[in-house]
Amino acid sequence: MNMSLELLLATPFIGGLLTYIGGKVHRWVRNIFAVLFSLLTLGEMSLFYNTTFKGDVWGSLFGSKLILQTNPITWLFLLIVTSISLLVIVFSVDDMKHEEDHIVLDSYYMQLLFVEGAMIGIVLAGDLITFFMFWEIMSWTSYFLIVHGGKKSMDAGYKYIIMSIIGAYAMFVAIAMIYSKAHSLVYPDVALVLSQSSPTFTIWIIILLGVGFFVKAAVMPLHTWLPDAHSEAPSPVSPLLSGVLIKMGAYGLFIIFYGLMSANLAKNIMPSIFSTPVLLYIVQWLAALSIVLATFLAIMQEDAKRLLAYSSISQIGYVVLGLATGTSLGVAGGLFHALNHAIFKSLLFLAVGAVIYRTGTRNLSDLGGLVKKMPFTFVALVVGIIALAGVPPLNGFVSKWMIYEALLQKKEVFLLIMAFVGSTGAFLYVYRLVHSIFLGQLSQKHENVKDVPILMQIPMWVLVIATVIYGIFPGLAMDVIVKGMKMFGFAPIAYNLYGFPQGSTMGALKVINIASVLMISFVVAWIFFLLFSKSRKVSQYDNYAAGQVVTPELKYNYSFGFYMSFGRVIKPIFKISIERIYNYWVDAAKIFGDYYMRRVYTGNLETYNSYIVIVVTIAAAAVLLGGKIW
Amino acid sequence: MVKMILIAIGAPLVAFAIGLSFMMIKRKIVARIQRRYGPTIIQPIYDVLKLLVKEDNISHGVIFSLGPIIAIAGSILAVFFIPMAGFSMLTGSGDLIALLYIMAIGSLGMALGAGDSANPNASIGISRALTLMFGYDLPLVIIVISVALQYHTTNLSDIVAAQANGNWTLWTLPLSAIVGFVVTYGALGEHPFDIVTAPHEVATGPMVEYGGKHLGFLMISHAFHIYIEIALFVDLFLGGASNILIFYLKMFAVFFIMIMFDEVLPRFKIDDAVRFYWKWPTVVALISLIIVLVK
Amino acid sequence: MVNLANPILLIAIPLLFVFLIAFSSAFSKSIAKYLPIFAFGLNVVIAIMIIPDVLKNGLVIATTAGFKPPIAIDMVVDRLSLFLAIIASLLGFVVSIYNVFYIDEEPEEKFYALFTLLVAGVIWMIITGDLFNLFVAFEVTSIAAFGLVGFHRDKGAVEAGFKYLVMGSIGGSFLLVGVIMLYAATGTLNIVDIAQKSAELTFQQKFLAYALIFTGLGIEGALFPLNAWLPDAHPAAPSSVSSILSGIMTTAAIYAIFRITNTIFDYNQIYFFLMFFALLTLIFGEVAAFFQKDIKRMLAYSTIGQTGLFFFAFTLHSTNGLQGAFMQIINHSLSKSMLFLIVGGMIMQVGSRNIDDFAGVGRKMKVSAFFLAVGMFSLMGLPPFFGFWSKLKIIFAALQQTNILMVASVVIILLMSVVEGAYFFKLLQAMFFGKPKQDREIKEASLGMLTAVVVLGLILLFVSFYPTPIIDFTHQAASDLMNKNYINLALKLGGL
Repeated sequence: MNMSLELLLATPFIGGLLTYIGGKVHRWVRNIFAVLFSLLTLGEMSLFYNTTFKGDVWGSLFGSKLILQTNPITWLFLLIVTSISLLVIVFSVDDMKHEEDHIVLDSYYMQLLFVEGAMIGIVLAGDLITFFMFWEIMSWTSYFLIVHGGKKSMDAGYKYIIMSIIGAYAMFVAIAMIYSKAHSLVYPDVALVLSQSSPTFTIWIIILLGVGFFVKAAVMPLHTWLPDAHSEAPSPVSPLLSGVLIKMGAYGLFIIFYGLMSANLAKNIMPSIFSTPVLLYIVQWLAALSIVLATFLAIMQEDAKRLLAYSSISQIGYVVLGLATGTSLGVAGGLFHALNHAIFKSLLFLAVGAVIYRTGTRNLSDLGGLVKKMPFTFVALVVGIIALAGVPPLNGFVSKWMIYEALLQKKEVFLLIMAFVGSTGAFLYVYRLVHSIFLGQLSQKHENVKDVPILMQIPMWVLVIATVIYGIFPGLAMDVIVKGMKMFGFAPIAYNLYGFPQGSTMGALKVINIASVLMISFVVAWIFFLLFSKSRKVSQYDNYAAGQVVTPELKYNYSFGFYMSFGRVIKPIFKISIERIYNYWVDAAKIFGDYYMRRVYTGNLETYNSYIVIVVTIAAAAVLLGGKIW
Repeated sequence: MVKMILIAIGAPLVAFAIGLSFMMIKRKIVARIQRRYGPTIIQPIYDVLKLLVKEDNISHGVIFSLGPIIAIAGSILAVFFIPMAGFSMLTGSGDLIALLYIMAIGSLGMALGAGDSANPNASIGISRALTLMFGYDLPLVIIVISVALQYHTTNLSDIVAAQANGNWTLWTLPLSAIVGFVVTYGALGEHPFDIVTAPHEVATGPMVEYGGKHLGFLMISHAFHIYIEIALFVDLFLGGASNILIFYLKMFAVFFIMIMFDEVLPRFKIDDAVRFYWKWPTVVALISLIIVLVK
Repeated sequence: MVNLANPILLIAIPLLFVFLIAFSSAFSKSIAKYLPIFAFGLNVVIAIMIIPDVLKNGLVIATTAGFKPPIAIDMVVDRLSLFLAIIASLLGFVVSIYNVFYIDEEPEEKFYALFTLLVAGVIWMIITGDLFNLFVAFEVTSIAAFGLVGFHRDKGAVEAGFKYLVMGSIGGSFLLVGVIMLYAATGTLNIVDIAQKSAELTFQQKFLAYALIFTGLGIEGALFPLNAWLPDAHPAAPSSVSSILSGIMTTAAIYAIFRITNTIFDYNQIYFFLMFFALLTLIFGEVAAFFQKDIKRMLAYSTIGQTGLFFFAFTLHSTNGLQGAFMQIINHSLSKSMLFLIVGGMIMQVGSRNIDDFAGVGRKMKVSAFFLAVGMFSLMGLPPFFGFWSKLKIIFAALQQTNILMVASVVIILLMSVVEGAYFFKLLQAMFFGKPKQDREIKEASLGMLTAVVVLGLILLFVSFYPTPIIDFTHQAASDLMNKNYINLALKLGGL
């Protein structure tokens, strides 16, 4: 059994190489290999359901053991990683067909599998070196995936990789600091060192690690790479980025908050606000700000994928907000939301990807009325947006509800208000998405659009089903989460297959009842509706236009600037742009650096020789003067 | 078991009846305020029936037709979660927070349907509706939080029970109650918040393409909507009621006061409506929330 | 039977071949082409044959001319100098193969002679056991390098060669004066002997000499601000020469500073003083590289930055730090010389050194571009490449004591790594995903040039995925240095 953890980690990497080689034989060999190996990974992963392994040494470096481990929490993240990767690869087969350069495609699949492997490595890591190593591998492999998306994606990818490197190096400093104290980077040893060190040291460690995770999880103010990267990446890559990759940041936060630094430790070394250690409280506020501001930004977007990208920032805010509460319910909610967000956001990105595949645009105001042409994609998108908006009975609702309850229990009302506002704002942008793409007037150039091929539909079907199942039976996920959290010292929360009894929460929830009553009332209303005379279908041009006649040439659609009036309300907020601030400083540093570099390396031999004289003088002076002091 | 089935059938009917009765009374009172005689009191029933039995119905597609159905289904679902005069029905399956989102199901369905009508007026209407919702949602969640904290529960039945013996939230948290009233106003789309349908601007907005039985369904769902919003207010602030008559009277009182303001106010611009809600109601609700927190 | 595992052969063979090349060209030009390959091939074999001895004894000493040290010229090979010598021979060997296909400009035979002389000088600098030999090797190397930098004989090359000549000569004279001062004070030139006797010296006698030696070697070793010749010279030279200059010659000069400081002037204050230079070198190298438009200049500045990095690790003055430095040297030598070789091939195809002209080249020259990416990733320290292990080691070593100075240094190093990432990724991005310019047909580099690249690339990949032997070996080398095993063993084995 121990071997199989390493096997699980190795499978996608080996698979990636074989896929690349397979591509030399034939493109179908490559496609089948890619699907097969991700399927294999999923299969191997499922063996570890609810099992725990502590420490499977796979090597050692500089005197620190390298360890792979697994527990139910890691299983949850493994599930996210492997399942979404598989679906993405299946989706890619048709979606990426247009790419003619076969070597680009070969390496594309290889990198998909590499990213998957790297993320598995991150999750399975039992020590910080393994963690950091796979973290970096994930960064650069995913960079190559992003830049597959064409001209604009290059700038996006560049920004992504630079911010990733910065984040990773912040972690690096922390890891090295821990190493200097512990001489071992295995999680229990690290936890021991943190609990015995001075509070300042521990707090610095947490901040530095936190910066790395915040960059990846795109928590404000370190989110600026995400909207570009997620929207410019190829359609099948976006779900992987938004659904899975940013969850690695959330996983990292979980590990530092509850794996390396137990909640008690945090309480002991720093003051608490609302019974939350102050550092976690700040994290909560950053998460809440991400929720609200990203929601506002998402509402104002005109580009479907950018909208979803901002929505990801907002939703990851819920995950982080839940994780940072420190209560069983909140953390469970955060973890559950990580899973749910992976499911519905991947679904949404795939659905939008399907639309892009058929229409070639993701500009919301160019689309419209596609519901008649792509009914299945419409259903997928609607399920996704309902889940995203947190409306029962789909999965997004349950996890958000848990987070709300947790905040309410802790009386962290201001955060709760922000969480609520973000959720209501989500109604606005998700409606915008579905309206501008599928509703409204069908433009003439999309008259011949068909629904996507079956290989692209299958991943969406799977995700739709998952959305419903995890919505109605949250107990399925809770089995894993609660069991895993017990290992991290959390009190178990009361739950059953369908929801939560009143007790550990302030109110009860039984999603199956909501779902079934909704279904019954729907059927009743429908039957009632059918009782009356049948309706006659009319064309979209047979429409009220205040006496005018709507002709196909006339664009009779409200899509651009859908929430313009709301935009006027929130305009003052957007006078400050975090990205502009960053750009300002980067530009300033560039100008400064350029100026001084020119001053130093003048290309003039006299200058250079004078440097030599200066150095000799300094050295000699140091000797002569230093001699007196030594 | 029989009782359960009876409740399951009865509750939506009662809710519909109450909502419809308010629609009837409203037209009469409004007419009187405007010094008109007004239509006969059962005019809305005529309207609904006439629309439902119309022979020629037009539809712009499946989603267009599903819109009103989902709107009603969502409304019926919400009815079950609001304690009605002692019957708590499904309050054990979803609490106040869940209710906030359950109430959104109907509106979302309606929005989808209206969007499918391919008419920009409908789209603008929905855009306004959602914007307005975003506006009043902020004070709404604040007062919901205040009430939940006040009674240390989010279970609506428990909240109602805690207000027994005249110990209403209206007395203990008057500021929240006032904000709740203003929010209910916006939620019902009454003047001055009838931005969504605004006949002179967007030709009744979302409903522009609806007619016949579809419009009839929308009117039915509007009746439910009136019931849901006011019943929720009564449960939260006026202590619910132990029998249906008192419940009805309380609701009527609320509705009556509402109409009194209704007809004398001009319509807001949409962004002004949001600004309005994010200003005073929010501040007042926050003050009330802080009072609860400190207490 | 003659013992072939003799360090002297490491120098003697290439020097012999220098003459052979000079003579052979009189008969046939094509022989001259291939002779360096034999020379350095033999060198690699001999160096590998020395390995068991070094592993067993920790030190191998070879003397010449029948005298006993300290009077005799002696070659002292410990683990550190052995692995540097191996790298130098290896690079010499690989680049010689590359040269056969790369150099097409007259006078070829002179180029080969100088090239062989350059690598021989570098190896000499590395394994010599006395200071005067060091000076001679330094001068040999410099003279060969002056000639090679100016080899193209265009305006830029001549100017760069002249600058290098002036600065290099100043460096050489400083070094000579420093050595003379030490000789005057101690009466010996043998490093170990000086170390033994230096205790008697006055402070000024010692450190004034050190200041001069440091400056002299620092000029060749690309320490800021003495490195101003480098960004001109490396790009101007033929790429194969840049590969040697960047990959091992700079390193050899730094090695000499290592060796002298560690053996003779092993004082904490000096390390502190050196750290200052190391960090400055790092900052200026990396930041300047960021602004370059010329691909070879960029790599040259990056060499300065990398030098600063491993010099910094050396100044940490701890086993871990030294180990990190050695690992980084291996990483840098392999990666950077490979990069120069690849870029040389690319420049032949593109016909320009401007980075903008390299857009889309990566999709045409797939093998080259792949190894370019590997080399750059390794230099940036991205896992799973070797640079990651060495950077990990250096940072861990630096933060052994978490005092504020070290944290600040680490922050500087990492910031500069970000800058490094910024310019490398910019190049990679343009190369792989940029839109190619249509005006030129771009083909993969010739097979012979690729062979050289692939050999280096595979070695790099091998050590990346199986770093344990290197880690163990460098750890042993580092602890040898820290324990003064160089002196102790030299005394024991009769090096003195």
